[in-house]
Amino acid sequence: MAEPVSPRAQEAIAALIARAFPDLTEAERTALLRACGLVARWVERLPRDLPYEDEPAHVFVAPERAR
Amino acid sequence: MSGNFWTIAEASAALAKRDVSPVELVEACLARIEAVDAKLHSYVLVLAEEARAAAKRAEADILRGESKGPLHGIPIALKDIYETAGIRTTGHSRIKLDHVPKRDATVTRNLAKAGTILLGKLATHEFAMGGPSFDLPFPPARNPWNPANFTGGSSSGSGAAVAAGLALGAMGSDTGGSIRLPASHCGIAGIKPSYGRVSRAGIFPLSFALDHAGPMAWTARDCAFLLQAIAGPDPRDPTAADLPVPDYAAALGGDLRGMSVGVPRTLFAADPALDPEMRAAVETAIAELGALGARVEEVPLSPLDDYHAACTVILLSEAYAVHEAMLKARWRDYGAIFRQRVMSAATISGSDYVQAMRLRQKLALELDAALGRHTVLAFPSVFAPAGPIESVPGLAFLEKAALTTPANVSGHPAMSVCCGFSKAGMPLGLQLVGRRFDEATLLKVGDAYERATPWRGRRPAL
Repeated sequence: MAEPVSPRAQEAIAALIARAFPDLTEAERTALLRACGLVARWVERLPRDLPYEDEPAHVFVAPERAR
Repeated sequence: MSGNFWTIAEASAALAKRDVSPVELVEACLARIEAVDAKLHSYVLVLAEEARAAAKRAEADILRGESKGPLHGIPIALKDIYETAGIRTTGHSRIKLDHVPKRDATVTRNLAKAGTILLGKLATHEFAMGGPSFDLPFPPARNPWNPANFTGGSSSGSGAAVAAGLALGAMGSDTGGSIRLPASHCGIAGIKPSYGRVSRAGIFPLSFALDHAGPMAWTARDCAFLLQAIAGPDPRDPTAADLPVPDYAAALGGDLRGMSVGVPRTLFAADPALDPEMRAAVETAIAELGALGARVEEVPLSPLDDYHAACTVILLSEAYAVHEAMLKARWRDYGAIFRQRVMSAATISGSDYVQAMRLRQKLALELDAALGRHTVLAFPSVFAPAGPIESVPGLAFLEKAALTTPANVSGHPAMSVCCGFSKAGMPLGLQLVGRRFDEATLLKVGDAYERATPWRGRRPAL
């Protein structure tokens, strides 16, 4: 999972970083870009086609119902 | 008792028979802290005089026949994210260096009610994430089995202090493995209870959906004593479930006949990161569970990366929400690793977070189903034993899925017990995951394994 993201994704991430944290040094921006690239790989793994009924709260609102 | 080392169970029995006093136990721990903690950095604050005074009060209570139970007079310590009224609580960060809480965390208060004696506050990774870091106000804790090596984290001081005999028990917290990783690397027992079993009120949050508070101690039995004192509902934490709390120590003993152990080899067996010594030790441990009477079967689960993806996205999103304002105001007062990890969440969208929560539910139900067929699941706590602290990558959690995250995502109780040592003398850890709110069975399995194997007889030579 540690491969870098595509150059296009890196550009998008760089733009987001610049907007959220405009005062970073170049070294800090580079380090953060690397971390964001790693996070992007995990985000890409999330399913986007779950059915409507897969609402996220059931298990944790009433844990005893899941037993 | 073995040399300088007491377990909670041994100390409790000796206190009951008045073979030892709380004052002697506290003095023994303080002497050991004085002797070895300069090498380990497990404490960020030692409360020597306060502990001595509390020990004298406990001694007087016990002599009057007013015992508060098995933890009365037992010296313990807290990860420095547990708030302590009138006592500095830093999160191992410059951000909270002068923070003196007005009230105790619920766990802090419950442990005091049970009669434990607070020796001090323990090192952690900054706000329970990242690390080991060398740019924080306190140095990182080091591993008692080899101080050149990593403790695991984030409950790094808790793992080191218990393994080295600098406290008989400690509290950790676990959002992605932060109790079980240092328990494994430091060769102790640590249990992340079910989500909702223990109040998080007054503990610095990292991720509301994934944070768990739990005990770390030398044995599963000692964890049972500590969990007893802290489990249960709490009006200050709406996630703390109003469910009965069984007698954990009473559930211990006997063998594992009638139980079923599921082994999710799909999570680890083909992973090239799995250290051969870890593989051998865990497979031997699983066979031992079979020898104790359990039926052992394979259980298929989703890929580990699915669990880790859900965990990473939820954890970072929520940690960013917790720290966003402070990050913008005091950016350079945070350590570099924390900054990099948390700020990377700025690129996670709201939709990403919701999809991670939906994936979480699917995965939680998958584990529920697996644990409907099996009493516990057994697999490694971590892929490899601890290596040099200087060479731990700052973004390790983002680079490689951790074997601890499934139980954070699902909320099931999970513990690590020591299952041997590498040729280099570093501990190896077996992870056990149990049914929701059935910590009693989980502790019973861990305790049975510890009693059947020789690993609890070995302590670090500092």
